[in-house]
Amino acid sequence: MLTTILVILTALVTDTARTDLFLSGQFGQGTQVLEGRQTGGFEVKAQSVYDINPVSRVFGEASYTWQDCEQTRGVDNADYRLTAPYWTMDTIGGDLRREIYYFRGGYRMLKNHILWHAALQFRAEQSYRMRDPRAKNKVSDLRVEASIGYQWNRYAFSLMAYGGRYKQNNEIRFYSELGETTIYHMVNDDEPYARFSSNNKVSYYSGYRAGGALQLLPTTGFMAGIQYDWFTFTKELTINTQVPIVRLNSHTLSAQFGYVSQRWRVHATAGMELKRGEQYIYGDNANNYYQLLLVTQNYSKNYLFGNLYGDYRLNLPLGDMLFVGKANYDQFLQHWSEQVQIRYTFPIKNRYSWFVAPQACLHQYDHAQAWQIILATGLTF
Amino acid sequence: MINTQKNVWTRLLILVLSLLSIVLFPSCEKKTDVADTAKVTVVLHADGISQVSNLALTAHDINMNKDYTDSALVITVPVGYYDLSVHALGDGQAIRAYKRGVKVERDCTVEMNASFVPQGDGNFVLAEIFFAGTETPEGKRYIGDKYFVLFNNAADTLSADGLILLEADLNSAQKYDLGDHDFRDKYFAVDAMYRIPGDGNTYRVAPGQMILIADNAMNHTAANANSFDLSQADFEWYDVSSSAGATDVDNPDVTNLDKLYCYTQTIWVPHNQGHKSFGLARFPEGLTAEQYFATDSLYVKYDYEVVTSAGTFSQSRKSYMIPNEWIVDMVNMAPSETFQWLTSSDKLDAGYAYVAPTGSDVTRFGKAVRRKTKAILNGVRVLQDTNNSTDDFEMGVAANPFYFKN
Repeated sequence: MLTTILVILTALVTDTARTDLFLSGQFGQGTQVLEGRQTGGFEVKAQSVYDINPVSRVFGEASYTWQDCEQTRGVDNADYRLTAPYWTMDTIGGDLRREIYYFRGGYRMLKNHILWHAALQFRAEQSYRMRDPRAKNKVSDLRVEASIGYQWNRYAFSLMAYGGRYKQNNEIRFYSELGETTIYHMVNDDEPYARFSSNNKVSYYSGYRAGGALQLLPTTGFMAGIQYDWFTFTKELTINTQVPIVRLNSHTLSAQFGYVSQRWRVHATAGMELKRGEQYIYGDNANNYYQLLLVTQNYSKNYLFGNLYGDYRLNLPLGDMLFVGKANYDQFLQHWSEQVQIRYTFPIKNRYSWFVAPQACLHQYDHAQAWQIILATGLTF
Repeated sequence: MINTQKNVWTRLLILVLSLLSIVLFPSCEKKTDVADTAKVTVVLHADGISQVSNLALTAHDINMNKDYTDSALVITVPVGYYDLSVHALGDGQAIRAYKRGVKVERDCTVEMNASFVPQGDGNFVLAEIFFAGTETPEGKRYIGDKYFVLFNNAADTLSADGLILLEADLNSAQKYDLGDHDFRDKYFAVDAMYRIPGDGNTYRVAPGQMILIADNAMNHTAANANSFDLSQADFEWYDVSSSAGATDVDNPDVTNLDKLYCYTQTIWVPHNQGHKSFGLARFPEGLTAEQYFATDSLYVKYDYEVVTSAGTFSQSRKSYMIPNEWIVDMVNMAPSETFQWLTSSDKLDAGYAYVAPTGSDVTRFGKAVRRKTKAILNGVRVLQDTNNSTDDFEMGVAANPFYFKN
């Protein structure tokens, strides 16, 4: 979303060259039913911005995340927010483990007021359950992006475009000799595709993404931006051949406004997502070959989302402290969250510093709330 | 749950979000019901019927497994693929009309032919079918306790001698494109035939009485507390197996059915996922089993096509055929969500029965299909037999081999 874009472009303009190596641990209550009663995990991450010379900069990031969500219910997919409402579901659920590998790298040039960049980003994820129903999801999410802009005084105006390819293989196995529970392939919020519920346990999400953003970025001063994102996928079942059952088109428009100073930064983002879905209707089948009769629109919903962000840097006699506050709202999940983070950076030797960054999150829903604690520590140089 | 009190950040976010939303998305609105609909008009041909009343039109959405009903011959449904059925009274008698596989993409008219509902011809019927087996207290599968309950649904005492228990050769959850070779209006293809022995007057059954046919007529509760005592069954089927690893158990105190034919050289286990139809038949008077098997026209090789994305492939198969007029009763079986086709003529059975939505459903053990009781006349039970198993049976009931025992 636009917040991510902001981070990307800010790295191009305002951030100074540095490298962070850190380890973070997370523990807390499941943030919603789909994520289980309790969740915990850790992340190892390295990120770096390096100036080759006054005009050329390279940046990169790599991370590994391990997460265990206890007693997840219903949804067997990875990326449930992205694939909603076309989920694969069961009635049992269970603990779900996630492993996420994330890489990102790019190049930026700023010369004669012209600013451009290109970057490649890849996320691989697998999530799995070790008891029946044994869901196993494999996700690959590739994105290529580029921007061009103009820098004038303390402002940069950037036009960015990106495209991506998304795949998710979703497979569910049962080892019980007694049999299986019904697997549901949802075609609406509360309605499965009854004809394909049951023993169709292998599905495939094939998706594409494209979008663009216009952004006004300051070194200090007002910032503003607007972004459009299009994401589409087709869900196919593997029944001898691939049988597409639904297709989703998601259009997201968001806007951002804020202010950046040397010591503090605030911005607000608001957006709306339009999800439009179609269902494939089949006639007779012979030997599991289904005759496609028609494709009909069956899902249309709009969701609002937004967030507020603010940070303040306080220089101390020894080191500095960064105070960060965030608030998010997602109408789709009926979810509010507030996060508070304090990052204390302590110089060790030469340009090396150690930092510790505790973070507390409170997630609120219509009828429940959950808390999470994240503790990160590492080196920066 | 804890009350959700919004803090300062949240309140500020609401304010900003609301303002930005008003500016950016003035027509933001949540929409949910977007399915296209179409109107289906049924033209009902009811030859010989002067007055139709109590009409109910049902459109069954094959893809979504949902029913829409209306009391007129016009119904509005979401676009899709439907089975249509009409239930009504024609000149005071029950009439039915069925139309399978109707594509509804826009407003359309469908012609249907109505006929009187068979009231049962006073014969034996399959009253309860238990094919799934049970689950042991240790969570293991147990399959030796399958059974069939036959029931005299006539007003007179009938002889069960010569009744043949049939299992379909075709699978209800795997459709073949038979094309011009579709024989179902004339024959029922079988893969197992077991006959009640007797000379014609050996096993006489009074009205409202049942016959219990067990796989193994033994007390299964000794090995599995969740099973039944079938040692008092009237008959069992026994197979001499060609495999030492799969042998049958013979209770010498219970009469064995005559094995006429079975597709396997080992032991017959009725399809335990409920994909195969079961029937009862009798050979015509004077026809012996030897004569039947010597009749080439009843051992038929037929072609069918397998349609795949890679193309259409012709295949052939050979099955023993039972002419439809020999059939006494037919019960099509298929899991409710994997049903693909009727493997018998829809004149023998226009519907199908099931115990679970899928064949491998873990909850299917210990469940049976049981024919509904239509009436109890002078203390004698009469079962419903309209030649539509979907209407005639209770699905997924707790199996009880002696439910119909008086």
